[in-house]
Amino acid sequence: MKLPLRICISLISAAAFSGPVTAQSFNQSFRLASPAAELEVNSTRGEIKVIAGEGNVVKVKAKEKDGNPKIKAEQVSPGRVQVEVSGKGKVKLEIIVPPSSSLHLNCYDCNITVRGITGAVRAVNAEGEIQLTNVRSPRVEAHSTSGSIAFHGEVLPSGSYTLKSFSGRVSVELPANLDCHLSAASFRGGIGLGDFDWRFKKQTDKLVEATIGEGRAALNLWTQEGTIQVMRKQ
Amino acid sequence: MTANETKTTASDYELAQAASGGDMDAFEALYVRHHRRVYSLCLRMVANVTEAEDLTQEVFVHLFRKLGSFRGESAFTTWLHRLTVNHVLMHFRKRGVRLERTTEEGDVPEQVEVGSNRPESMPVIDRIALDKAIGQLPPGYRTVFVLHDVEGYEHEEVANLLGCSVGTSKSQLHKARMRLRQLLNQRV
Amino acid sequence: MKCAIIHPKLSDYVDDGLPPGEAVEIMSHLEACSACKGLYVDLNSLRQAARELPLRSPNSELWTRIRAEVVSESESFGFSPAPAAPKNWLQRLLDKRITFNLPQLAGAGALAVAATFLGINYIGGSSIAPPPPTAISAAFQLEETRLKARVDEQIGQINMRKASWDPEVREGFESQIARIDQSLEACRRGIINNPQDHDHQQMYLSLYQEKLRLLEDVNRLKW
Repeated sequence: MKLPLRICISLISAAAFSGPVTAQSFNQSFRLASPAAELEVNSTRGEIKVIAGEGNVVKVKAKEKDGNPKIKAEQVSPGRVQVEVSGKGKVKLEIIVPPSSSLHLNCYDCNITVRGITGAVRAVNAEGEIQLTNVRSPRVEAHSTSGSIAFHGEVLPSGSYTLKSFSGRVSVELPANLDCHLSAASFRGGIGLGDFDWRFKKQTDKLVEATIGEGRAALNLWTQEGTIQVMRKQ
Repeated sequence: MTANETKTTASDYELAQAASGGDMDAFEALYVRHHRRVYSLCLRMVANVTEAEDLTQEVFVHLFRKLGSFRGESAFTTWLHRLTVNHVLMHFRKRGVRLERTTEEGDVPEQVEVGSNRPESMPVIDRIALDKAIGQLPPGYRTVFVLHDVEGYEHEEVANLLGCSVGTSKSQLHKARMRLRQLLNQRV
Repeated sequence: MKCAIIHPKLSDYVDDGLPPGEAVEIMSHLEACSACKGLYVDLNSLRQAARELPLRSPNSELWTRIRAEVVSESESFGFSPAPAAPKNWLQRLLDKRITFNLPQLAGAGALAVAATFLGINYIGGSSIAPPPPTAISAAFQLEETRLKARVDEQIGQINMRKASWDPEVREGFESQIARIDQSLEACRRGIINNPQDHDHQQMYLSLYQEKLRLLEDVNRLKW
C-alpha cells in the first residue's frame, strides 16, 4: 500500500511519540484500519472542534491558548484515537475525523463544536457552548451544566437524542418530516415546540410528552433553568 | 379481557394497546410471550446473569412506557428486539464498554489454527459449550456475533445499530467466529 | 489463491456474501486444501449452531420486580391508570404477587430514613399539618437514596483531587455545584409542600441525575 509522504511522516511521528508534550503547536495524524473510527477527547479548558473529513485519517491540531497544558494523542487500537489534555491552561483542539467516527468528547470548560458526523456522538462540558451541526447520527448525547446546546441535524428512525443543560438553552432545528417521541422538561424557562403536528400525551408548563409520526426516534430535552426551543428547518 | 383470554387469543398488537391503557394482565401476557427471547438476547450480549436480568427488567419497564407509540405497522417482536438491542448498547455506553476496541481485549492472532487437517474437527457443537464460549468473547466481537449469527441481523443492520461500517461488522464477525472456534477446540 | 488470502473471506463465503467470481475461486481452493476446508466446515457449523441456540429463562421472580416497578411508576409519574383493575397502593401491596427480594428490603430500610428526613424538614418549614409520609411515592424515595449514595461517592473522589486543580476552575466548579444544590433544594421544598406534585419529583430526580453526570465526567478528566 502506498501512502502519501505527508501521512508517512505523520505516522512516523505518531509511532515515535511516547508521552505528553506541551501544546504550543501540536500536529499529528493517525491512519486508521477503517473509516469507523472512535475518537475520545478529555480536556480541561479551551475549545474542541471536531469536523468530518475524508479517508481513514484522524488529524489532531492543538494550539495552546495560555498556561502550560500537556497534550497526549495516541492511537490506542487500529480504530481508536485518544487525546488527553492535562495540567493548567487552555488548549484549542481542532480534530478532523472520518465522517462515520464515534465521538466521546469531555471537557470541563470548553466550547465544543461537532460538524458533519454520522457516528454516535457524546459531548459533555460543565461550561461553554455545545454546537452539533449537520449531524446525522443514530445516537447523540450532549450535556452541559451552564452552557447552551444547539443541535442542527437529522433525526434517524430508531435514533436516540438526549440534550441536557442545567442552566443553558437547549435548541434543536429539525427537518419537517420528523418521526419521534419527544420528552421535554424545563423547570423555569419554558418550552417552545415549533411548527410540528405533535400528538400530546402530557403537556404542562414544565413537562411535555408528545409524538410525531410513528414516534420511532427518541428525543429527550431537559433544562432546569434555561429554555427549550424546537424549531422546524426551513 | 381476562388474563386467560389475553394469554391465549389476543394478538401482540391488541395486548400492546390494552397494556398501554394500563391493563396489567395484558402486559403480563406480553411478558410471558416475549421475556425469554429478551432475556436470552441480554444474557448473550452482556454475559452476566444478574446484569441480564436487570436489563430485561429495564427493557420491559421501558417497553411499558413506549407501548402507546407502537402502531402495529411492524412486527411487535422486531420492534421489541430493536428496543432491547438499543437498550443493551446504551448500557454498554454508560459502562464505558468500547465495542470496537480489539487490540487491548486481545485480537485474533494472525497465525490462526487452520492446519489441523481435520475437516471434521467440530462435527457437532455442544450448545452449552457454545453459549459459554460466547460469554468469553470480548464485548465487541460478542455483540456482532450475537446480533448477526444468533439473532439473524444483516450486516447493514448491525452496522446501523453500532454506528460502524459494514466492513467493520464483517471483520468483527469473522474474528468472533475464529475466536469461538479456538475456544471450542480448546475444550475438545 | 493462497490460504492467507482465503481466511478473512471465509466468513463472508459461509454467509453467501461474496461476489460470484470470488466465491467460485474459494470453492475450488477448498476442494484442493484440506486445512482451509476444515476451517470452512467449522465456521459453517458455528453459524448453524448459533441459530439453534436454545432460549434461556430468567429467575421466575423477575416478573414480580417488573410489575412492582411498572405499577409504582404509573402511580408516581401519571401514566394512564389501569381501566380494567384500578387499584390503590395499599391494594397492590396486599396483592399476593408482589414480593420483595433482599436488595429491595435493604432499600426499604434506607427509604425509611429518607422518609423521616423529609418529614422532619416538612414540620420545620411549615405551620400546616404535614401530609402522611406515604404520600411521597416509594419509587421516588428509593431513587433519591440511590442517587445520593452515588453522588456522595463521586464527591468524595473529587475532594481528594481538587487541591491540584487550577484555582479558577475549582472556584467555578464549586459555584456550579452550589447553584445545582440551590435548585435541588427549591425542588425538594416544592415536593415537601405538595407531595402529589409529580412534575416536581420528576424534575428533582432529573436534576440529581445531571449532578451525578457532571461529577462522573469531571472525575474522568486528568487535571
